Order: sequence, then structure tokens, then C-alpha cells
Amino acid sequence: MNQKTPYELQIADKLQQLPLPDLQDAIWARIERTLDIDMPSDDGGGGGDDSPPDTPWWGSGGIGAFTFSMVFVAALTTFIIYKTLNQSTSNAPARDNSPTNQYILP
Amino acid sequence: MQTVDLDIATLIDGCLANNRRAQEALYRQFYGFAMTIALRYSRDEADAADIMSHAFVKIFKSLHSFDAAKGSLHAWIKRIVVNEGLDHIKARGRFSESVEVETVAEPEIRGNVLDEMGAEEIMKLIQKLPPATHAVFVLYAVEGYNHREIAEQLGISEGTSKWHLSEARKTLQKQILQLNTG
Repeated sequence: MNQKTPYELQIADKLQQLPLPDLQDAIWARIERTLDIDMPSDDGGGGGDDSPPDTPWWGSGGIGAFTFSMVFVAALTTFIIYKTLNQSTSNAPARDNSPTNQYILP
Repeated sequence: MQTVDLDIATLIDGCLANNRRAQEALYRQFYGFAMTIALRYSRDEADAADIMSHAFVKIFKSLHSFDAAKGSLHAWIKRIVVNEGLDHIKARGRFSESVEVETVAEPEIRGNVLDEMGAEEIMKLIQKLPPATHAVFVLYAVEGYNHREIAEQLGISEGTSKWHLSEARKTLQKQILQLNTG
């Protein structure tokens, strides 16, 4: 059995009246940081920001990445074809007017 | 009362779904209740903030184990905050003195002396007690546990719990009388 003295009863009563420090927001920020690491939430967080998460310029998720890679492959293919065509037209023999190839007949 | 219970039940469901808004709302609803407890086991506000943040993370991580049929959410949260407070005190110092007594000293303090003291002043005196003595005094005089329960919680003997309570009473009596006369 717990037999408190009269002054201990008084102390217990007084401690119920302790003024609370104004740390509610600061403590919540700490709790939220820990929860974001240990128990990540997929509801966008509770910080009052309802805007959707930032999406990259090429779009979100797999569709954006697929589109981007298709565009890249198309551009690369076009470049390769262009280079190949250019190379084939430049392979035709050209007139060589360099001085070393001119024979000077005696 | 029924409306409050429904609100808390809704919050609990939200917290179990890991919804941050629900977790924040539950925290804010219980801030005052939990902080009042945390302050009893702390040395200062920074300590109390540590106790609170650790306790609420535990609350959200283990909320699935709360059973409303076995007790109220208040009692369940209080248990977690008290345990966190005790862990905090234990981290501060030795907790296993082996001095034992059979009977506890009951020094006299006149009631009107405490009437003139504010809650913060009294709390400061308790916070200055050595760690184990602080824990025993709060558990006994404020939370209402008996020595057997305190001994189990702190991993000490009942005799040691009684010794700490004696020491707390003698120290507080001396300090309160000094404040009153000085």
C-alpha cells in the first residue's frame, strides 16, 4: 500500500498545475522527422502542404521515362543515319589538284 | 463523451494507417497530458522534449498493440511516457545503490509552507534529486505506485526503493525549510 504524507499529496496536486512549455510545434517537428525515416508515409506528409510532389520535366513515373528514352533513341538513330549518308557521299573519288601529283614533263 | 471517443477512435484508425495528419492530431490532443508527465521525470524543458519525442514515436510504432478492451488510451499513453521518463533518468546516472531500509522516514513539512510555493519551484527541487531518488519519489508520491511495483520497474529491491524515498523526503524537507527561512 502506498501511504503518502500530507505534503506529498500536496506536491502531487501542485505538479498537476505545472505550466506547460510552448514546445508543441518543435517536438512535433522532431517526431515527424523520425517517423519520415522509420515509417515513411505515402500520404504526402502532414505538414499542411497539399501540393502534389514535384514531377520531373520528362513526366512522372514509367511513362515519362519511356517517352524520354524513345525520343532519345529516335534522335540517335537519325544522327547515325545522317552521318552514314554523309560518309557515303564523301567516299566518291575527288580530283586531286595537289602539286605533288602533277607531273612535270621534261 | 461519446463524441470524444468517436474522434479518438477515428484518429487511432488514421494513425494505424500511418496518416501523418492523424498522427499529428493525436499528438496535439495528448500533448498537455503527456508533457505534464514528462516534466516530472526531466531536469529541464530540453529533457522533457526528448522524453516526449521518443515516447510519441514509440506510441505511433506500437499503436497496433493498444487494446481498448484492456484499458483506456490515456492509461496506455501514460505507461509509455512514464517508461520513457524512467529510461531518461536511468541514462543519467547509477541506479543500483544497494542500501536498504525497512521503514521510511516521514519528516514533517507544514502544509502552509508548500501552499506558498509554486509548482515550478517544487518541480525544481525534485529535479535536483539524484536520479534514482528522483525516480522513486515521483513514482511513489506523484504516480502512486507502491514499493513492490517501483522495485519491479526500476530493477531494485523494495528496501532500496524505501531508502530512496526516505532520502527524497529528508532532502526535500531540508530544501523547503531552507527556502522558507532563507
